[in-house]
Amino acid sequence: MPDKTMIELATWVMQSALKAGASQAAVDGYSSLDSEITVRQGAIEQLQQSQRRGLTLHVYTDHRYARHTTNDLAKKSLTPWIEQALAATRCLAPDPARSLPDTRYSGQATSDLALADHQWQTLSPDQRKKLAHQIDHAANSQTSQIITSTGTFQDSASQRVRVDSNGLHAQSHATTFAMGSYITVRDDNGSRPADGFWAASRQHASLPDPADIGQEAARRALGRIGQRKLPSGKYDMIVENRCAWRLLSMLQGPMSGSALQQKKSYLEGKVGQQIASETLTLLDNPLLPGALGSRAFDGEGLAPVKRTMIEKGVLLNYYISDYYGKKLTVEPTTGGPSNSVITPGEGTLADLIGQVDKGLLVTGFLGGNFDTTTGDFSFGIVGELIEGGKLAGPVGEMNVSGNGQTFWQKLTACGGDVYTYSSNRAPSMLFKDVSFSGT
Amino acid sequence: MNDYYQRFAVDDTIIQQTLADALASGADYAEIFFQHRIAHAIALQDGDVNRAANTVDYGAGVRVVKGDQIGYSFTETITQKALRQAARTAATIAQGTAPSQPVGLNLKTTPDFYPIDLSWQDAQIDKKIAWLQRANQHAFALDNRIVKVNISFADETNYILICRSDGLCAADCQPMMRAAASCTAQQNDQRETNFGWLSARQGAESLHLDDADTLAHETVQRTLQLFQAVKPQGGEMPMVLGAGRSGILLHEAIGHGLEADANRKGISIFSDNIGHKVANEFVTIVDDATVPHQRGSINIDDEGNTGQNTVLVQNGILKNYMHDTISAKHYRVSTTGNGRRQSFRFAPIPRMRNTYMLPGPHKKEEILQSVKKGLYAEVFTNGQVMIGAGDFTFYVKSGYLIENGKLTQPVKDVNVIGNGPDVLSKITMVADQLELSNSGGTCGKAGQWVPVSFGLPLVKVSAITVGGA
Repeated sequence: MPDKTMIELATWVMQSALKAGASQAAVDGYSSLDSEITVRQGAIEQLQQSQRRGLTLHVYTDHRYARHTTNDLAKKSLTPWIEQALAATRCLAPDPARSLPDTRYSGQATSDLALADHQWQTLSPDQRKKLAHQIDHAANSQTSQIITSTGTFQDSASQRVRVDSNGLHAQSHATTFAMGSYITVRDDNGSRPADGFWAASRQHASLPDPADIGQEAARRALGRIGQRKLPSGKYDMIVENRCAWRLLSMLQGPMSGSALQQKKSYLEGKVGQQIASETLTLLDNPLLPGALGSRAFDGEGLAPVKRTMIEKGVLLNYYISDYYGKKLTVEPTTGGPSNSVITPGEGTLADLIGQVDKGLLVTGFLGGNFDTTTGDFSFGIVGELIEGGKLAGPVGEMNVSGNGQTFWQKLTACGGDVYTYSSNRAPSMLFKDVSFSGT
Repeated sequence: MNDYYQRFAVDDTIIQQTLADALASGADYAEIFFQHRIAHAIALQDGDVNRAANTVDYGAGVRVVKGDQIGYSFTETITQKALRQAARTAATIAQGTAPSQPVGLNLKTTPDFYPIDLSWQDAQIDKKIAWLQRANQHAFALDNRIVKVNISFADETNYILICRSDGLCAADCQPMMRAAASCTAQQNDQRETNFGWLSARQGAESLHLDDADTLAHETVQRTLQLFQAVKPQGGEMPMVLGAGRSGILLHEAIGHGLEADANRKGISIFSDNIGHKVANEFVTIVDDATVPHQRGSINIDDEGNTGQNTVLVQNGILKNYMHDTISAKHYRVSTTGNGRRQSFRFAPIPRMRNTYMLPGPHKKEEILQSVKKGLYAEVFTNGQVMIGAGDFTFYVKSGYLIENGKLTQPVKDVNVIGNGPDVLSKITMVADQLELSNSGGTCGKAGQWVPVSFGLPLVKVSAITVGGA
């Protein structure tokens, strides 16, 4: 279980930095015990278990700022390291926006966020192996077209601490469990398509049955056989819930304080404006019990607050860190997303598919990029053709392109199928008339 | 050897005992990977060098191998107790009862592809600050439409020591510098952003203000060009790739597919293809560890094997995979020195180094003139591949339309997607001058990131899918 001495060490480092001449200081500490086991075709391929520890010292000396990270935590090593950190920081130019957050913003969550599974310690090495074997076996037994299958089980027990010279003294413990399977199958054309399925959670009991993971991975991999490329044109697009992260990143980037202050955001000055269709409501919720993005405090020690970022398509808030809040002379919110929650609609993915006469179901993205300054995007995709409300075979080697300024207006419907195995908790989403490039 | 032993506070006895613990369950092989990495990064924003991030990373990982099965454990504290605990944890991959005996340890001689005069640890921060300020001033002076400039300078010195159960020890000191710039320009209501990079395995003696000017100039020109740029019409078309960083095409289209772990598991589209024709006879592709000072070069890989120049495709024929120790044994070939890892926290796997194509028979002008309607790709950012299906992508931040053999309308923000074997067979023209990227990239695989580079002469792909409007 997590390291009881980490907060004492972090406090000692912070106080040492002040004694060495820092005007203000903050220390982030972490420790974790991580295990991972992968089984391939019935045999253990890799097992790994290790303990991690490290800390980061944030030095503020007359508004000069630098951060210094080390994993050499012996006090005899830390003492000269702190002196060097101060000396290095003094070489930089002062920045009036560099100071610890005001105490009215900093703090930690007071409610139990259910981040730690207290039964974690009872998990034995043999149980871990058994779970990985069960995933792999369930995958491998589905069909003879499988070239190779894997089952992976990971778990981690970790601790974060943050102390600062304004009096913040925060710590939280968390566990993470993950199971996944990745399958490669044989296509008659000589290619070897692959797909998989992955689930992660804070509580072991929240994971699906390992056999379900393996079977779902096999179903998806087999569904990639016979992929074809379609003609370029406009299609309705459903983005499956598990890959909504790609679309969310197109909002999170330009909504960040750094993009806004550096004039790299096409959403600058648009608070109060309709930037998406009324179908889109996006919350940032760090207080959702047991959710993967929930946190007792953020990266600057700001206390967690649930916020509506976009409401029925109207932009309400940005992700503003304390630093960029000072640069922009606005109140901080938080420097980075916690749980990004898109308000779901009704119905299943099949119901959404049933609404589409000619379109594409995107089940994965492949490379591509997005320009926060202009809103332009272009991504490779894999997915399935939809015809007459039904799935009609796998597609690939195609691109989807557009611009965020118009793309989010095309959002027509959200399913009720929120993906909970990620900090991006989104349903499947239907967009009308989206440009795809193919033949 | 003594210097490295001192750095990691170990001796022959500690290493021998750790390796003995690692092999005690009857494994075939074990190694200890020691690492001490010292990294600095400073950055300029809004005219001031006012932020820095410095990192010290120190630890060791023990890998135990039984057949193709791997046990791994690392420690962030290098003590005899912690090393032996890591070895015992990793040793649980084997279930035998007959312990093996490690042999005597010998330090091998290694090549030196990146000699330096001045370590980054001895560099004066004032010189780095002056370099950043010079780049910033130069960028703003070039055009009054520039509104924001961000520049960062990162350097690191990475000391590694590998001690193996076959008795071989190898050590290396790996320098690296990386500068990155972004500019945002505004013209009326329109804003555009573009990027520039510079990276090499060089020491602090390489800090030249000329490079700051060049980086600023490139980044500003690329940014301003975007004001006239449009998204092209999407679909299949011929593409000409400008020389240099375009080598990302090789990295994605064939590179990952030739990493031997994927092939021994049968999950690459290039599995069982050694000896097959995959490209035209004027196409030769290598993965080369030996290019002096190049970002992807390594004197030794992270298993202690010497970095080599490995021919992947020779005159259109697939010749070799890129091997780590496990896959080399599987295929009964020599290792190629491709076993790499992000840090001591990871077991090594086959990774690329500097992947490039040798010059071909054509001239740049005839290649451009051969395209009636297509795309010229100039600035590349990122890419990705699905090695089984063979689909790969790379992102073209900026380029030009080609119309009747001439570069015409600037274009921007285009993802290009193709299928590896198909695209390779469609490289129909290769220019007679190779350019290696002066920035390379950072490659991700199985959750690990390693520095790589690439290169390409100017080439023509007869048909590939361009994501457009």
